[in-house]
Amino acid sequence: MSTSKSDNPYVPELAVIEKIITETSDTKTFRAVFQNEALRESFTYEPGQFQEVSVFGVGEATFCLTSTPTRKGYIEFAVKKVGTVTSALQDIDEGATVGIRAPLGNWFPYNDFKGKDLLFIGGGIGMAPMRSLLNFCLDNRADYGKIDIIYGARSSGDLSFQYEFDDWSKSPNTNLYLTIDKPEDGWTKNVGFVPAYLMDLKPSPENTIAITCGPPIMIKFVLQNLRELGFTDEQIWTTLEMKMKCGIGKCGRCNIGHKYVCIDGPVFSNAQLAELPPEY
Amino acid sequence: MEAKVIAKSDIGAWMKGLADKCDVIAPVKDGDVSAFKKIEDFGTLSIDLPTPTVKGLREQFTPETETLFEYKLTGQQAELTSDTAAQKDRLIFGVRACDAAALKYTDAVNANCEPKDALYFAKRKQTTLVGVCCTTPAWSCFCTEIGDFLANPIMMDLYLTDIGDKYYAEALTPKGETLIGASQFQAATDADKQAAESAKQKVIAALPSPIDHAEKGKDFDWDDPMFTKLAEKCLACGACTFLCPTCHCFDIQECAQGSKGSRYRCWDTCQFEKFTLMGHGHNPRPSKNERTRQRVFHKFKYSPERYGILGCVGCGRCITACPVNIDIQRVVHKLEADK
Ligand code: SF4
Ligand code: SF4
Ligand code: FES
Repeated sequence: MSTSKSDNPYVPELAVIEKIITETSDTKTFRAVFQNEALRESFTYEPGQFQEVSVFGVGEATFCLTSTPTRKGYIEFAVKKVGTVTSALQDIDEGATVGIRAPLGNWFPYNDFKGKDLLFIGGGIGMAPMRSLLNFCLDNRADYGKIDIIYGARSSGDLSFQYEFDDWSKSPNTNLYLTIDKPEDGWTKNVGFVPAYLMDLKPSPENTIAITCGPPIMIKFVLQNLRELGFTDEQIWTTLEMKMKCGIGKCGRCNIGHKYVCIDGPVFSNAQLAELPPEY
Repeated sequence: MEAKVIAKSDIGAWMKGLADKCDVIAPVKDGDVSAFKKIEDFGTLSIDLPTPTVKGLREQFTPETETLFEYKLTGQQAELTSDTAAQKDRLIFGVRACDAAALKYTDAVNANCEPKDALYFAKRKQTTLVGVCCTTPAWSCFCTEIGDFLANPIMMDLYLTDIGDKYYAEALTPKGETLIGASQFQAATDADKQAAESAKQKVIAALPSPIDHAEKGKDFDWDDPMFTKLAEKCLACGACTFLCPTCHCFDIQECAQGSKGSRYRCWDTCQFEKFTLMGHGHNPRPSKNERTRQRVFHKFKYSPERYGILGCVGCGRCITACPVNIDIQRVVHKLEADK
């Protein structure tokens, strides 16, 4: 008996790269469309889930789904050049075939967030996994209270998704706070690190959910500062990065204690993380 | 279920009969060690039962390297060309109780969340297992500390116990009942049953007493200073994990040349630095300190927490294989004493 394509979980679905957006000097966003038309229609996912992307001839790598399931027909993933697969992706053209295994992992409990204010705190490429939830909430705007977005990067050129900044800041009851590490000619927004900017803005923890993602050092200080502002561990959510291969809890690579980030995560509240060994 | 006996001299003929219907795999001498091999020649049958096999059953269900699928490339366009190959039914003879018990663990891992690992379960379904009770355990064996599967085997179809010039054969599943329906099997007497029971008890008496490791694992000290010492000794060779019947970690890699390529998986180990090293340089288990702890904690703490079973069956292979004499049984005893 041979296992058919449908039950071999390591066989990806083929997709075509429809659009490539250059975000920064080392980051691009790819929009992919499944070759299988029926799947293109039926495919759905949740904000916070991730995927394994195959570059044929090179290998497979893990990326969050940065698009929102409210916008159908395609999926997007943002790629920063760090390793073999991510470098190969920088060189492919629109029209190329990729393989996709998705959706994988858990997601943000957006139903529990309904009626609450949301505070997004992102650094650099860390905005990618949060963008899915952010656009999802903006597409369901009435379900959520005030939405504040604090987004920082090393320089203005390192901010991704700039083409959406207008949509974000013009959405009702929504504020976009941008910051860069060092002053630049023509930059009118804040200058300074994300954790410090957070303390300047002093958001209230009342009826608020904070969602944060970015480099480990930023997260560390953002968490400290959120606690100082009065946020509890239950109010703080993040999505973890971990070396992954199978994405389905089999290859044994992504564990933190007895949890697997690929199936029990990547989304965790700080309260959930506090119960795990400090190994991530 | 039913039990019968089979004369040792009839084993060859019985297996030859089976080989008409499926591949027959059994432990045979391979240089200095004993290894599972497909039996081709039943005339000079040289099954090596007394020596435990150097490897367990891992490679029978998850080969060291296994193609996941193949594809064709034309420029940047790809097309999937094939999936995995068909495989014949097979019977594995001479399986140790510990190695069979390890399948309960690997079954749990491969069923861990949907989708299940269809490649693994296809091979499981196509395999009949004939176990054999150990009569001469290795110095490193401690299976009886982990479970009572030497006396009450699990995850196999038929269990043979050496009672002199014949084997006492207990069918454990309907597949096993069919097996002992073969003409070489005869009715067992009460004396045969007694003989099998005392053979089992004799070997069990020579092995350690049971310990509730799963319960004790709950209280392991994350910061136990022993791991610093283990890390100093450990060479990170990975032998302990590659020989372990419950270890299951794998890597996924690409093999591509010109217009053809394949995706394959291959065994990997938490003892290697790169196992958890991320593209941008962060590593949650950066030193051997964390990695030696991971092996022991995964088997004795995380696995009971996640699957309700220990990730070690006490086969002792990692103990005999380690070039610097790191002994998981002693490590676990020490952790349990230190807590
Ligand atoms: S950890 Fe060692 S003793 Fe336990 S099952 Fe694995 S190889 Fe055998
Ligand atoms: S066999 Fe021994 S030296 Fe090699 S990785 Fe395992 S514990 Fe370390
Ligand atoms: S990526 Fe394989 S277990 Fe999580």
